[in-house]
Amino acid sequence: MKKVTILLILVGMLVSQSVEDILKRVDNNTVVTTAQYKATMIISLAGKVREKTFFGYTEGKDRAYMEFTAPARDHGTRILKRGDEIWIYLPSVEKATKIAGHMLRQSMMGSDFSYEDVAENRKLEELYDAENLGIDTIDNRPCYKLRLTAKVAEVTYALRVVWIDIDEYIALKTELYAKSGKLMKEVMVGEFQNIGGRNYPTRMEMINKLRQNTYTELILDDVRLDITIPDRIFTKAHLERQ
Amino acid sequence: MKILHLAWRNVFRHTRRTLITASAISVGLSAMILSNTMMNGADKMASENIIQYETGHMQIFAKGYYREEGIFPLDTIIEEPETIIQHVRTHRNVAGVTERVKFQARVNNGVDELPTLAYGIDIENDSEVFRIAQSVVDGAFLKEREDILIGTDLARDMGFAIGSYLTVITKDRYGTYNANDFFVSGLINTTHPLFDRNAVLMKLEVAQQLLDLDHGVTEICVRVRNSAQLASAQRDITALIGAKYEVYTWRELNAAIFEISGFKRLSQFMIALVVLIIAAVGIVNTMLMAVMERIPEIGTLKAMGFRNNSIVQMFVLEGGIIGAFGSLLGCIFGVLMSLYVAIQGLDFSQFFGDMDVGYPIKMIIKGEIDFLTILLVFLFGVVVTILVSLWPVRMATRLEPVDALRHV
Repeated sequence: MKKVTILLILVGMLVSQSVEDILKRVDNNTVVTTAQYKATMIISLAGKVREKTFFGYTEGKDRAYMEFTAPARDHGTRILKRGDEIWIYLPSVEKATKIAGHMLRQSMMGSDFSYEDVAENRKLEELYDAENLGIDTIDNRPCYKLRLTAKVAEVTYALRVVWIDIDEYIALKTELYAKSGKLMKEVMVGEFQNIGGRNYPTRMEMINKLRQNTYTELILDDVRLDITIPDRIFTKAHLERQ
Repeated sequence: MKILHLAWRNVFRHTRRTLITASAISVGLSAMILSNTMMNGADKMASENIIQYETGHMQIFAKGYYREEGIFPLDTIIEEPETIIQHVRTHRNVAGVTERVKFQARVNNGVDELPTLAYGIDIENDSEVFRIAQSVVDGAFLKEREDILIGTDLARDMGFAIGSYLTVITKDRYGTYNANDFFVSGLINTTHPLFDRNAVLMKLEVAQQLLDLDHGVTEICVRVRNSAQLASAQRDITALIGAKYEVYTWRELNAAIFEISGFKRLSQFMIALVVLIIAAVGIVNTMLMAVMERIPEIGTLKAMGFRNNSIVQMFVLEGGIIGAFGSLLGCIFGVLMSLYVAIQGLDFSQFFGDMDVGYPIKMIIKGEIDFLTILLVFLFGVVVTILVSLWPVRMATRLEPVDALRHV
């Protein structure tokens, strides 16, 4: 009996170690120093499907820049994130406007991504305590199923349940929960590529669980990671350039 | 006295002309009176709506909370409202005190989402200050944890009825998403667009839990007995509760709205003034005609020894009589229209639809008549007509009696 208990504790220790390890390896794949990409966003709302394309740059968790190229209506719309501030530039206004705190929660260009979903680039390991819920499969791929509970107060989602590919260490599915335990969003990663030694998601779907018949698909192309991005990209002058 | 008699008879030598001129003035003046009544009514309704539903007479915030309109920070809240409420209650002019939590939230019906302003209200004390409980037109006031009150317009827009289930999505004070399900327990109709169209109300404890505020609130609202002594009450309470808090009156909190109101007043007054100027041109015309066609008469009067002064007096009196007549007519019309607007209200939704005009009232405006303004408008009308009739009269006085008599 004693032996079994010791064994259980040992296994438990191994598992708990590996849970942190799993998270660390996921963070190593997806939390990048910098990224440059082209993206297509397919927004489906109540049966209507719209497509938007943009390109962007990200640096750390504080700086991001995006510029829309299609459709014509959104062409030239630019978004800049610097720290907690998000600025949006509309060609028709010719001046950048700051998006106030509460608007960060609102959807970006009519999609199921909020501005902060897009800009978030923080290490899961720093934000959450992980608990292993066992092995599960997503699309026939074996996954670790982890429950991530926030360990710091300042976090967007208090609870996440993630399915992490056992071999590739990428979250194939993520459920995002409100503090009350209500499921808000679901992110499915459809494709990922090995870019510079990292497994980086290139096709994902965001499903808003609080609204029926809406989802947004995000497809990334020409992704380049950990490159040097000139400082001027993340300036207001660049945002407002003619 | 004789001159007045003469002027009076002169005025009614051309009844139709006099009537037309007078009615031109009356249109201008009645427009001024009506616009004044409407603006007064709109201001009064806006003030009442703000006091009865939104702010009370005064609001207390933690220092630094009230930065700019439309920002509701949860990082500077009143952590221990109970002690402040007790202090405030000791003031003799305070009639009621309640606490509220105000925050931005999205309301979701499973298909659509709308941004709203959400309130957590203290169901025991809210009626000391506000009239939310009295404005429930369907269903019941808040009772259970999952009860929520919404405005009739929001209910219509989102397809909610009593018993409907909705989700309120917000972020707590640390920026973490939180979402709760509620059942619509009652519909409110306040005539304050914010509350009818854009707000949801839940129990204070529920809001505090949703936002992780413990016992904290964003504001304490105060109703006073005598609003004429609001400023002194504000000073007293500021001194009473200390420098960690700030006290604002409802007027200070809505300065922008009353600034808009001032502009509207000015622009409406300008429109009425233009109408009056047109009417004044009519008077000039009438007086000019009177002078021109009576040149031989003026010559006769002068030849008989009438002084220029007397002639000026006569014509000015004629102008004055027409002016007074027109002004009286205008005031009567203005008051009649104002009375209709004050009693029936004027429904602007037919003209503008249900649009937001940046003013906390609905599109049905009940007028508020101000008799002092009407008296001023009357005097204004008379003075303007007298002033503009001086110019034609000067022509009459310049005539030589001989030339005048020869004039055909």
